[in-house]
Amino acid sequence: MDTNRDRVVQAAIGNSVVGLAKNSVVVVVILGISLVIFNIVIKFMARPHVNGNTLLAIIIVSVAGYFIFRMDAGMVRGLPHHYVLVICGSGGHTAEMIQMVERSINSKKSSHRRWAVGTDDEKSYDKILAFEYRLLDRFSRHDLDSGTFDIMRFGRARYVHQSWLTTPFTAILSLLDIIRILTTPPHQRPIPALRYPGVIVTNGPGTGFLFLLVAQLLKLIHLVPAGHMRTIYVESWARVKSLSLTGKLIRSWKLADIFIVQSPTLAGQDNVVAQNLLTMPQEPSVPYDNE
Amino acid sequence: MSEANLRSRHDRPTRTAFVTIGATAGFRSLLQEVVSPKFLATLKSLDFTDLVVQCGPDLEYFDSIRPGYSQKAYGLDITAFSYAPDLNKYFAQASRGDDDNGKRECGVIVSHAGSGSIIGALEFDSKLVAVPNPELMDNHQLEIAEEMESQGFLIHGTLGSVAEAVEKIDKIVLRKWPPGPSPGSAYQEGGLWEAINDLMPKSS
Repeated sequence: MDTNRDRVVQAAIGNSVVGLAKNSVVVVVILGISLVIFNIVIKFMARPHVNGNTLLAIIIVSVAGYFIFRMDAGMVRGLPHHYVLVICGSGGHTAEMIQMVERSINSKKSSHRRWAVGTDDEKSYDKILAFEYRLLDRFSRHDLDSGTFDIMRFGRARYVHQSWLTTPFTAILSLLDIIRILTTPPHQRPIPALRYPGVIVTNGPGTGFLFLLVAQLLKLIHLVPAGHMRTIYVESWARVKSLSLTGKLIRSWKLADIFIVQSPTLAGQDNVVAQNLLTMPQEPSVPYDNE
Repeated sequence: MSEANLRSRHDRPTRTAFVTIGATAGFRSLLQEVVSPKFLATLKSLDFTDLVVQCGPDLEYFDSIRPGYSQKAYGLDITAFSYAPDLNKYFAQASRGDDDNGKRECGVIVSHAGSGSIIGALEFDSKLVAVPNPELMDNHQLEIAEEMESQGFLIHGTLGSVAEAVEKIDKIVLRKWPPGPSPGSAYQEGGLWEAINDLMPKSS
């Protein structure tokens, strides 16, 4: 199902990055050629005055010019980068996740965001696309790098009303999808450091637990380099009296490096790292445009 | 609509009550209540001009219980629809701001107490009355409404006295959403993204 729409968006963003790099290269080449011509002209017009200092100055100017233009070309490559995998369960959870990311995201690092969405979850898919467009718009208004993203789909382990007889098969397919999403490098960023996600974030429900479990197994067999696939679980702010089932499972299996609850009443129970509604700064890191 | 009526609509600011019952389950008891004479009279006494109702699966039912189109009940324009992909337009209509025709007064949003609706509505400069749906047993709606009211973000409305809850909106000052981080919690400034940055491999 991940056909046209996401490819089109990915291609559009990829093209713009490549286009930027290409343009800068062209500018550098033209500048270099014009400097050489300039040099020759000077030599011909004022031969007696040419000495080592002029040549040195020309060399310094060309090198500096080259680096200045490289900086432009490096807007994407030059920034420190990271790759975060966000797992979206369904409707309300996705909305909450997007709100947390939208308010807190900054451009200190150029991020690649991979969103994992259920194959049957068109609503979440549309919400994510709408968010990414808003983000691109907002960051480019402030002349900031909004990074890249892709969306990958996973099948559910068990669909609502599905027969238990067929469940093992869909469960295996779902597991394969999860492994595929965790291990496919983002082709927008063919950099070895971004081979595997640095951080995995989820706020439930069930599938988030499966993702964290599989990631834990991949780390156990040392398939992923050390320090990658660290995990964050965020309990919904709507859980005010008790943890959700997914939250309880993730906590008792110790699957999350950072476990966040958002209600003061849940703080401090059994090593739960607790912060009150920390996930949404009161003022967005990059201001929203209210027109 | 008479000409005098038209003119008066343009002269005074609009004030909208937006009722939403969410995207998943029906909530007929709330629909019944917001067209009850008591509720409509309350809106009229608070100078409301518009009532917009998102009915979910029960649009036909709502049409059967609402006051007739011809009689302008309590001076209110009542409109209804079943679903919309994005409710922001309606949330905005019920909050303070400028409209095409002039000023809007801060209205009220009456919502079921689902977490998605609450968090969506709180983004707007409006007053929120959250009414838990008692038919959804394990949905924690009551829990959410009580906790959010005790933290001062909204007014917890109960079936049978939604009108009384709406009467409070002009007297109560609600807290701005989202709240700041609690003292002692990590990542005070940067929120979730700072936590993500913090956990990233240091080499990159």
